[in-house]
Parts: sequence; C-alpha cells; structure tokens
Amino acid sequence: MKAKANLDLALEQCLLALARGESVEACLKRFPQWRAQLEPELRAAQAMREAGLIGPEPGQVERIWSSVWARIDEEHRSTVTSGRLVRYLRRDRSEDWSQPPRRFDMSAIAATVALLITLLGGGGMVYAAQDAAPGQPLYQVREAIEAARVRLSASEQAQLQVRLELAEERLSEAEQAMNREGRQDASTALQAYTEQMTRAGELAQGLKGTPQEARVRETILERVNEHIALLQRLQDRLHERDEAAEGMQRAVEQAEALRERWQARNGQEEPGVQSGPEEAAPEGTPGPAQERQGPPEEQPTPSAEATPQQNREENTERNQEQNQDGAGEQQQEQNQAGSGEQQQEQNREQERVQPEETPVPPVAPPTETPVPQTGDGQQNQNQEQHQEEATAQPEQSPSEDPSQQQGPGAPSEGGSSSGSGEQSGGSGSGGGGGS
Amino acid sequence: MREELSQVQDNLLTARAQTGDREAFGELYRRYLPPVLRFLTFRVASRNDAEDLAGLVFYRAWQALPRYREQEAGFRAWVYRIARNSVIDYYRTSRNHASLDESWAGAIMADSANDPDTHIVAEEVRAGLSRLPEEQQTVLVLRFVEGLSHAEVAEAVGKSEGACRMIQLRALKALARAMGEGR
Repeated sequence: MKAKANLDLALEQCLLALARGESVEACLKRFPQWRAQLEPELRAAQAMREAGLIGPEPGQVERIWSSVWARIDEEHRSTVTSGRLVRYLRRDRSEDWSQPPRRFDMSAIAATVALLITLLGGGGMVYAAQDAAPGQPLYQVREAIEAARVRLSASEQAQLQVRLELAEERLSEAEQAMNREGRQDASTALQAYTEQMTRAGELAQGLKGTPQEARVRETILERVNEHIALLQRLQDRLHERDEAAEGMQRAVEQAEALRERWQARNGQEEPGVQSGPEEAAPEGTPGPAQERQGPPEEQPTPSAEATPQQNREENTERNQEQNQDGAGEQQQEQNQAGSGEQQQEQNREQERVQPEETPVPPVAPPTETPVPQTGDGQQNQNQEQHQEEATAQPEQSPSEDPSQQQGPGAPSEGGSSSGSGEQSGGSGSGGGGGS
Repeated sequence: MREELSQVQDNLLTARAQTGDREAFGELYRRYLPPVLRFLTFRVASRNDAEDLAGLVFYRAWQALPRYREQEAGFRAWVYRIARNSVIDYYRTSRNHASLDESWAGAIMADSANDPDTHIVAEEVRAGLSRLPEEQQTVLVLRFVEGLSHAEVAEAVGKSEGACRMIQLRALKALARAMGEGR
C-alpha cells in the first residue's frame, strides 16, 4: 500500500517534470526502482502533450466564427421580429450548457418530482392540488401525483386498488362538474375515468390465476356496480347532444364490459370459492365490502354497498335503478336482504379491528375515521393485518355496535371507515370498496 | 504570473461580453477556439463534427454569458465544460457518426498546417483514448493535451480536485495499456 502510494507520488512528480519540459528518460532516472511501471504512463502522457500541438487548419477559425454569428444573428432576428414568445419557443437547452446535461426526459423528471412530493407528503401545492378539478391549473399536478401513487404501489393488486380509487375520484369529479354545469370538465373527467378503468381491467387480467384472483374479482364487481349505478344516474341528467354524453356513454360501456367479464368469471368459479357455511348465498349475492378483511371464503361476491359519501337515500335509489334496468341480480339480493346484515358485519368488523375505540356514532364525521383505508400500497397490508387481528380475537363481541340502529342500507360507517380519511375522492363512490 | 494575467484579461473580456460586446466575445473566441477545437477533435469521430460542435459551443457560450459568474477556474474551464456537455449530447443524440478510419485520421493527415509526426502521435493517442470511459477521456485531454490545472479540470468536469487526480491516475494507466496493446 505504501509502495503504491510512493509510486503514485513518483508519477505525479514525473508528470510535473514533463510539464516543465523534462524528458521521459530524465524522469525515469530519478526513480529507477519504478522504471517499468512509470515508463508506459509517462510515454502516454508525453504522447498526449505532443498531440496537443495540432492546431486548426487555415481558415477554420474564420469559418467557425461565421457559423457562430450566423446562429446568433438568426436568434436575434427571430427575437426582434417575433417577440419573446418565439424566442422562448426557439431556444433550446443551450442556455444551460454550462450545466451538466440532462440525464432524463421530462416525463421522468415530472414523475420523480411527483414522487418526491408524494413521499414528502407535504406542501401547500400538494394540498391545493388534491382538490384541483379538471381545467384548473393544478389539475396536472394532481394527475402527476396520482400517477406516482400508482407507481409507488408495491404490488399489482395494490396498483389495481389505486386505479379503482382514482377512477372513482374521476367519477366524483364528473359529477361535481355536472353539478356546476361544467360539461367540458365532466367530459374530461369521464375520459380519465374510462382510462383508469381500462388500466384497472388490464391489471385485473394480469392477476388471473393468482391466489389474489378471488379478492380481485370481488373488488372489481363491487366497485363497478357502484360506478355503473352512479354513471346511469348521471346519464339521465344529460341531454342527447350534451358535450359529456359521448364520454359518459364510453364510461358506461367500459364499466359494463368489465363487469360482464368478471361476472362471467364469477359464475364459473363460484363453487370453488363459496366455502363458508353461513355465506352459502345464491350466486351473485353481494357481500359487504368490509368483509374482505375477513376470511376470504366468507366473501365470495361483491357488494355495491358501503359507498362512503352517499347517504342512505342515494344508495336505495341507486339500487332501485339497477333493479329496474336489470343491472344485476346482485343488487336485488342486496336490497332484499344483504344491506342490513352487511352493515352489521361491517360494524362488527370495525369493532374487531379497533376494539379500543369508543363506539362510533351512527354517522361518523370523516375526521374521526378510525381506519382510513385509501387503497394505496398500504391498504392490502392493512387488510391482511386486520384479518389477522380479527382471527386472533374472535371472542370480541360486536353486538353493542350502535350503528346497527341504522338499519339496512346505511352506508355511513362503511364510508367513514373506508373512504373518508385523506381521500375525499375515494369519496365519490365506492370508497367502501377501498376498505 | 503569466497565467494569472491571462485570467484577469479573460475576466475583463467576459464582463464586456456579458453586456453584449461582440468584440470582446470575439477576443475570447480567438483565444479559446483552438484548444476547444482540439479537445473536440480528440473526442468526436470526424473533423467536420468537431468543427460543427466548436461552433455550437461558442454559440452556447454566448447565450449562457448573462449567467456566467466570475469563478476561480475562469472562463477557460467554463467553456470546456460547455464543450464537454456538448460532446456528451453529441454521442447521445447523433445516430450516424463516421468511423474513425474513414474520417478523422484521413482528414487530419491531409491537414498540411501541422507536422505529420504530430498527427501520427495524435492518431495513436486518439485511438487509445477511444477505449476509455468518457470521463477519463475528458480528464486526460484537458490535463495533458490542453494543459489545464487540476483546479480547472475539476471545474470543467464538475468534480473535486482530489477526485480528478484519482481519475487521472487511473486513466493514464488505462491509456498506457491501451496504447501498448495498439502498437
């Protein structure tokens, strides 16, 4: 080690000597013990010095100078004649050429920024962007943050969950836009919804044949039923030539296609899935969204209940609409029998998950949400964790649950426990599924 | 002392050029075009490409002048940094580089302005350099072909002096090996 240090030192000294004009041979005589090691490097250095003697050919300096000023004059002309905007558009990254070149394209940078913003989880812009509606300046920031959320998800199943939540947020935005007569914004939001659902469908397809398939199917059907109900309600409010009509129709078709695909799958695989004795319900019987936290065999079918921000009347109305147009036997079953039991189950589950909590008021405000479950990467972990807790504490009684007083169809705890928290958007519809 | 004087002159010229004085910028160009062109000649595939890039480097320097701040390493290191970034961009964006055999060597040998022996040595050096990583090439050319100080090399490369010294040692060993294999 010391010898190497000495060798490096000798090389340094020789290089300085070369720079002063000494010959390679003269340097080597000073360090005869390292002659073999030093010589090739000194010769290479000397060769480079000699190579440095080459200069420009005649006329080259003038030629290049002309090209430089041709560029500068060109830029000057465009600045004068077309103003600052053109100058801005024409300039390339040359103004930053003294800085290291960019290593990434802009989309990667945007994603990274969004990722950092998301990771840091703070800042007024993030806060403001969360509520940005289509057409607002921060809406793109919001989209970037959401894209980062998807990328951050640990698994495909978690990504699916996030996609569905984002789809629901778009749906909620569409509804809000329609409420304020913002048809164009509604159309934009519906387009984004369709895109999210398409991606979600692709992700779900990729989970075919995996152990998660049953849960995925359940999630998909549950959410899509909610979406379709909401979309149909919104569709009724549109005129035939409405700006948002086309986007609405596409959104409905996309959601229905996804539902059909997974209902067919559901029918094929139902026997293998239904193993819980007390849940030996007819095919298509909607199970409570919250029960996904329980043993999988108890939750063979989806639910259209447990929407966080929709009140009881909305839920009933939606189910009626679905029943009228034959949207699903599942909804009928749910209206007839499922809702009350489901709500009780949800409440029981909530009790099991957080037994130390004081009784939840019938309609808990979002801020008191005990377990915000927003469907991001942590959600599945939460589900599994709750599942374990539930099975580890089976003796805890849920019977005191005050929310049982709500009766059938009351979705509020589902909502309060699932959607509220950070994502009002989950809000729109189907936050319950997010639980 | 002479170098210090040169740097003071550079600083005066740069300050004038920042106000839009083309004459001052022209003087800087006359000072630094030859070394920048040489640096580029060692770094890209053809002499024509080196010439085009040299024009681009000074155009970009002109554009970036308003943001230039007087620094210890001076205008020379700054303009080399622009040149190096341009080379990196050149290799990243260009698709049809001429090969060394058909362009650079032939063209430089045909250049009557320089000593043929110098060209032969330059050719050997260039062939050896081409087998080194980009950063090592830059450090060696700036240090030994252009004669920049460690501080200037560090400024041009954007690293510390200590890091540049280490790169230089490694690079010189690698170049000696490459040139030895080439003979």
